Amino acid sequence: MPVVSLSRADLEDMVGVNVDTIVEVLPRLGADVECVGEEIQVEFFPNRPDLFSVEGTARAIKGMLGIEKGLPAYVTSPSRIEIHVDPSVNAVRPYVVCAVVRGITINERIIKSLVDLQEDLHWGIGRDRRKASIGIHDLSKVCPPFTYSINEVAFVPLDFSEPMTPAEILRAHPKGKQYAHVVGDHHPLILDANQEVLSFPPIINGELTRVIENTTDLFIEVTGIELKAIQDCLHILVAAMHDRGASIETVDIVYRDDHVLHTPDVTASTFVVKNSDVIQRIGANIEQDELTTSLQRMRMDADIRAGEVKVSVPCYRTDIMHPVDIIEDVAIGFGYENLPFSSPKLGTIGSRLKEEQRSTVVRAVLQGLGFLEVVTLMLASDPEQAVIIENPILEEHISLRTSLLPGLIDTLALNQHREYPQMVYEVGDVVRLVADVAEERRLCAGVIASSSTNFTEIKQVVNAVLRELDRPFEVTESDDSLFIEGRRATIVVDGQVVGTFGEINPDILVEHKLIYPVSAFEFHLSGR
Amino acid sequence: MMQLSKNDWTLLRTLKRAKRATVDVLSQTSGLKTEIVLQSAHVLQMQGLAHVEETVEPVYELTAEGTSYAENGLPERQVHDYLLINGPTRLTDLKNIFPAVAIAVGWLKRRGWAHIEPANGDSLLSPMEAEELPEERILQDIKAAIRFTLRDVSIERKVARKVLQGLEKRNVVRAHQIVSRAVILTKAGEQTPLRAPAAAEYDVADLTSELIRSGAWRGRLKPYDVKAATLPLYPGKAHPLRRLIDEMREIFVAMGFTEFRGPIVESEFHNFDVLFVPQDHPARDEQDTFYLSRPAALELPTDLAARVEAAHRFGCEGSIGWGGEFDLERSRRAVLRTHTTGSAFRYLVRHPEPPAMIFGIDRVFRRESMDSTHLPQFHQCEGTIHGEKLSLADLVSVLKAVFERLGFKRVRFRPGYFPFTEPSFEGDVFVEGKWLELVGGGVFRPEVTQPLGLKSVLGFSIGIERIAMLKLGLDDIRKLYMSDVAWLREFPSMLR
Repeated sequence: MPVVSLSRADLEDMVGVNVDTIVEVLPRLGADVECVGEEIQVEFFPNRPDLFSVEGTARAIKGMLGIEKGLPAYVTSPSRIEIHVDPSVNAVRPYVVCAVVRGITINERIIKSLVDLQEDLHWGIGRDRRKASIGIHDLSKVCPPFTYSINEVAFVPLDFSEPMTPAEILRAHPKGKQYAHVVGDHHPLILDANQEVLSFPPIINGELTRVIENTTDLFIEVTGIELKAIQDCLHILVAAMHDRGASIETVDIVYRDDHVLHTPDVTASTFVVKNSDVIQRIGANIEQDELTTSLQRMRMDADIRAGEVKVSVPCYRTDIMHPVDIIEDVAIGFGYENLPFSSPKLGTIGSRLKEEQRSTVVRAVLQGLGFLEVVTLMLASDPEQAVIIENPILEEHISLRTSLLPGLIDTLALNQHREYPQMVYEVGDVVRLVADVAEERRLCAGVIASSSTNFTEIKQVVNAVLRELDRPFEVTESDDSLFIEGRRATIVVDGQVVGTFGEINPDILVEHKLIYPVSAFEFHLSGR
Repeated sequence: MMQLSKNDWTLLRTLKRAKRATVDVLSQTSGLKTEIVLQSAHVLQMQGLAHVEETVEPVYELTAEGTSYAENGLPERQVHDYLLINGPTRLTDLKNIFPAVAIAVGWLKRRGWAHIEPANGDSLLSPMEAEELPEERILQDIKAAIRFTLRDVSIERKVARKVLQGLEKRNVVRAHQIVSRAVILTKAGEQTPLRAPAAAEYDVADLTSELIRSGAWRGRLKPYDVKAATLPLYPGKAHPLRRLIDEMREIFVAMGFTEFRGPIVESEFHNFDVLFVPQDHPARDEQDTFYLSRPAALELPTDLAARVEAAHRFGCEGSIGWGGEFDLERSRRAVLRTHTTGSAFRYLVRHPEPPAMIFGIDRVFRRESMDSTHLPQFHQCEGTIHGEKLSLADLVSVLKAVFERLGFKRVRFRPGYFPFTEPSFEGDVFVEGKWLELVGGGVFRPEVTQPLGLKSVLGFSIGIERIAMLKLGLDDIRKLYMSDVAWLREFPSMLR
């Protein structure tokens, strides 16, 4: 979950209340306040990237507190600036959307907020810049119209002083090395009318258009591989700048003469939800007034007519895909603490799985025989006949266990300083690979470690457990090297080998630094 | 005066030959089980015939560092050997060869194994005489022994004790205290004849079948000291985590839920796609999910796959979906299930007629490093309710009842986020002055339920280990899976 750092002073100023009220409201929006200092660290849900900034959080809190109500009004005017998209970019990063932001005096606070938001969007929506990446530029330094094309023009990248070609940047610049895999051999550049480079998305901007204090006019471009993702980023950014008092202008994105996009499009989208659906899904009898107020708290407008609500959703709410998303906002605005008690009367009759019941019986029998139950991890180190993990974290956790006995012997090894005799068992699942298919099975296994344990004792245990399960069985000699030759046997039920038992091979005991004899058994309770 | 049982006499007989022996040795020579030997030794002690001596003796083992030192030599020895072969060397050069050179140089100085002089802002190290250290002998001794105690040292014990203390401080060895008991025959024991003395007033120690039938026990049974201590006896019993799972099963069955299970080895399709988790969602990263190389891919149900794909790309009934591409190859990839939510929908697909209330408690896997609060594998309790018209309020009310039965009286619900539910919630319980998150869930999105032909579905997942830690008072989750037998023996089956 993304943790966003917000300047406390900036947030207090933008909302107009002190930090205590802010900290109290945030959880009601589904946010988790992790720490409050000069900076407030807040964990937001990943579906609300519009909250990843001081501006967006302030806007939402003002709604919850009733300081501002309903849909925030966003307007744009045309800038007449064009950007021409060359088809050559189709191979790597086909889409770009842009906006012009004017009449804002950039200060330190705004720069910090913008840079943080940009980074959080690169993660939250951009999936580490792959799906979307953002460039913010000082518009006064360049000359439109712009072009977006595959190119090899050299330029001075941010934080450098010498011009470099895109290929050199991928080799030598830290950001170039980090993100080279996103572009490969195609190097998309945004250039101005004089062939000056604004940016090499998604790698780095040019030093030329660096935004500094007192910059007043911004050019924002977002490039990527999905139009919706880059529009989402742009809407969140311009909404934030608008909240800071800036005016927003559209840019003409010229794909072909007959295919021009005007971005950003800040019009609110409309969803129609039935009153009855809201009441039914939430389970509270929410009256019309309450419904309207709840939505207004969430910065939406509601127009209720003939049992239907027409909801206007602001452009930055990128998470709203379906009327049910609106219903959740009603619930949040209404308050989860206000949900009434109501219990579904379905008249179902509960029951347990046969297999689990059988496990319960076996556990009771083994406990009756004096065995102590343990639970061990299912991750194991033995690749033999096992399911193999492609991306393990530890060498000893590369597979799923195919037997419970190694875990039980490890348990004995952990307990060699504890009083003997020790009798432990586990009933649990293993997974075996049979003809490339993962077969899950419920097994039961036990070990006895004591100075006097032997084959006879463990055979008595096996006899007792299988008698209680009403499973007649035969015994044949085994060749399992876990046990001592001549003191090991297989358990055969209906002609099928279902388990083994015997005295554990002392070489294996010594490997585990165990110094008392250990006898052991293991058998299948069932397949699945 | 004697009230010895048959076992007590057997032990006394054995002890008369040995005079003094450990409980293990007595068990082997007498044929009595160790716990019987301990019991009888206790009786003999009460009679003044023997004395039980408890000694606490440290057993030493090598730490990971120690194992490496036993193999390659102490760091100061390694550097010294290097200096012997290569002659005087600058500190900066040594740093490149020995990353931990700082520790080694400290010891070289202390032991006088090297002469160190300043050289142009650097230091030059020249080797001096360096005899074998007792530390080095002991490391080899520990490596060779199965269970190393002070008795196994090849040098003088007094020196060894000091050296071991130093090694423990350097985190090279680790000591465990183990209790061993020896039984020593007393003078009185030595003088006691092995046959019981003839008719005394109370001459019978143990009631026998013979005595019961003849009635000859009357007036002859010596009363016991009922306040005498006995050795602890531990029953076989369930693991506390299992007990919690059993308790939860009982609660859900009583509330009308039917139990289900699903596979651990799961396709991305059932683990993610069916739940409308977009294919590029961060949870599907190699960072967070265990992917399998064997089997690498699983078969998909064709019809269902087509419907789920459509929901992802275009949404359904007024929804716009995620857009973008949907890769069926990706859907086939095998993973270790990251939750049991997918398993619940496998059940609902097989039993599509409402109503259904189902639950399952099983293992799930996340690609996390182990520490005191994280494990790569843990248990989830999944609950799912399928009906005609179900609401968030229904679900929250059911969960309040569940948590109340688990002993949590104060529960709160707040907005949450999961890609597959809308509205979503997270639920906390109030314990010892703070709110602790234990459950998440919500009303499943139409993009999840419609492709499967289901009506209204509610779902929640409860983390079992977190509840276990709370109820058992554990501060380290690993303790649940690396069982300490002493803890299991002592921990009561029922908590007040």
